[in-house]
Amino acid sequence: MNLLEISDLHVSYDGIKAVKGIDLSLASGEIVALIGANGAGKTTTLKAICGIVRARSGKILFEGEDIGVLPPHGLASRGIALVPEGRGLFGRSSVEENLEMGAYSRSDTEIAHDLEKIYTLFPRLKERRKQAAGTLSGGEQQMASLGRALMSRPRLLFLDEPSMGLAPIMVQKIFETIRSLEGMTILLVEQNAKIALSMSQRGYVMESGKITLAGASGALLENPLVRAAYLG
Amino acid sequence: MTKVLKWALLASILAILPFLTDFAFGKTWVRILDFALLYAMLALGLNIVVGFAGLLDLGYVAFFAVGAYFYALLASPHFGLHLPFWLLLPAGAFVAGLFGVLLGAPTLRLRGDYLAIVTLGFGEIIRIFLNNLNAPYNITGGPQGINLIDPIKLGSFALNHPVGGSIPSVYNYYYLFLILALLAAFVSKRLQYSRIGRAWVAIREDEIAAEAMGINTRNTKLLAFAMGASFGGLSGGLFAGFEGFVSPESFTLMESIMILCMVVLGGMGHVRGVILGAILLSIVPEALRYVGPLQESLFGKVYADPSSLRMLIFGLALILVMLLRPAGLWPSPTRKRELSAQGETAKHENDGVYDAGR
Repeated sequence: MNLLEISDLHVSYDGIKAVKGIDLSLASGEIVALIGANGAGKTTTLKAICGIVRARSGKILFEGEDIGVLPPHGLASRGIALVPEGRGLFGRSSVEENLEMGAYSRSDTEIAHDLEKIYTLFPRLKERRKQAAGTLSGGEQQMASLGRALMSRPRLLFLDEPSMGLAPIMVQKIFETIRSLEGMTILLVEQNAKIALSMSQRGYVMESGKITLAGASGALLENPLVRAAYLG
Repeated sequence: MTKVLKWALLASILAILPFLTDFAFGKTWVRILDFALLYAMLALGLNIVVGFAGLLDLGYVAFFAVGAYFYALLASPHFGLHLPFWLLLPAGAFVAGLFGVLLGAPTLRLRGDYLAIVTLGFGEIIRIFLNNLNAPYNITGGPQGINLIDPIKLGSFALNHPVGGSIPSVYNYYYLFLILALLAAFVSKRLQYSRIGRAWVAIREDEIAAEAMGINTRNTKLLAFAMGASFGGLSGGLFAGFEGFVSPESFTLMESIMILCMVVLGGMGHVRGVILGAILLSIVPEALRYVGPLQESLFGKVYADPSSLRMLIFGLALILVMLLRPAGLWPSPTRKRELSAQGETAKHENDGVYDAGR
């Protein structure tokens, strides 16, 4: 059984159809890229999965449970974490407070231990632990947001445009870290098709609300249509 | 040890403050102290909504009004009811809390300016209701308000009577208000560092991210409105018992703005700062009444009308404070951290780019 199974998802905003019936699935342990131009409906798809906007129709199954009907706050305790577009940090709280908020839905005793793990993953965050998250550089903010999501011990991780607004060297650093998260199931929503496809095992290409291409990432990178539209 | 000493010193100062004030400035000033404590409770309540949860509320005085009228209606000759205060105060806080939910529920999706406008309207609606609910059935007494409200009684002892014929009633109220204000500060502090307090901060900073963390933002926001409102309701009951008279005039938009000023000027989200703001803003305007006599003693005559000069100086002082201390007079360490680190952001940005590979 797939970890996440989306079938025939439709989403509209005020009568405008943003997502027009897509099918998408993630097997456990897979990194899957969802690429497409600005306005293709990628973020809307993600918002619908997370319950931030309501799908008009379609099914969203996580481990067989219909999560399309859940409120957005019901996802964290089920093991789904989101790194939102624009990082969504709690700007005035310190880096450490942000990371601790990531474990809000947990009640076990290993939170402090996991915090140390995040600091090993991102030593920069440890240096800045007492600093307000809003004053970090873009790359550090992305690290903090990723670290915060990992603090919930997710089984499924959504990354919304992690490369946005970052210097190329920072993008590389972030993606190296993402790749090092072995065994994590990740849905990577990206405009930067090249890096997203080189990072993932499979990819979906979205265009005006529909999935137009899907397949192994390597094959998509070679696909002339993808090359012409997204890789220049 | 020094900490214990500091607290002991503070406690003894607070204990003898009314005697000192009375001796130096007279009983009027003890009464002003009473009001300062009342405002401290109000400001602490508004601080939960505005400071902790980041929801701008311009109609906060409505909850003060609800608490005051609740007490007034059930402990006065108006309906001939004389329920005891120990029942009315918590019940008034509870009823005000319900009104908080009533305001919160329809405004859950609103933020910032939009929320401010709706709450402003809510505050006015309550006041206008109180003003007009005297016909066809006289419920609130209309613009005349309600008179002869029962004083607060502890057992058989009414607080509006002097103790042993020597300690005046304003002293009694001072101690009662002091205890309750300290209690409000304690509850605020505990809330701030609780799980709920952390959820409020998260909602204030980024609502979508807060939901992704597993926070039920709807209930958490409603709780902020309810908690804040219940502080207002409690203060309202105390106000009614203390004054013995309520009318819609006491609950105007200006009052809401004044309480908001206390929170912002003192240091939003910082319990001690907010108390400081409340005390300063209730004392300074009173002290400025002496601008007239001061002119007389200096120049032999009054050049500028003190009543108009008073608000001018007060306004100027507010502007100066916000210019020189934008985070408030006594900001929380977090807020200070944010503002002081601002200048370093660019530097960090560059660091982040150039040594990211290490």
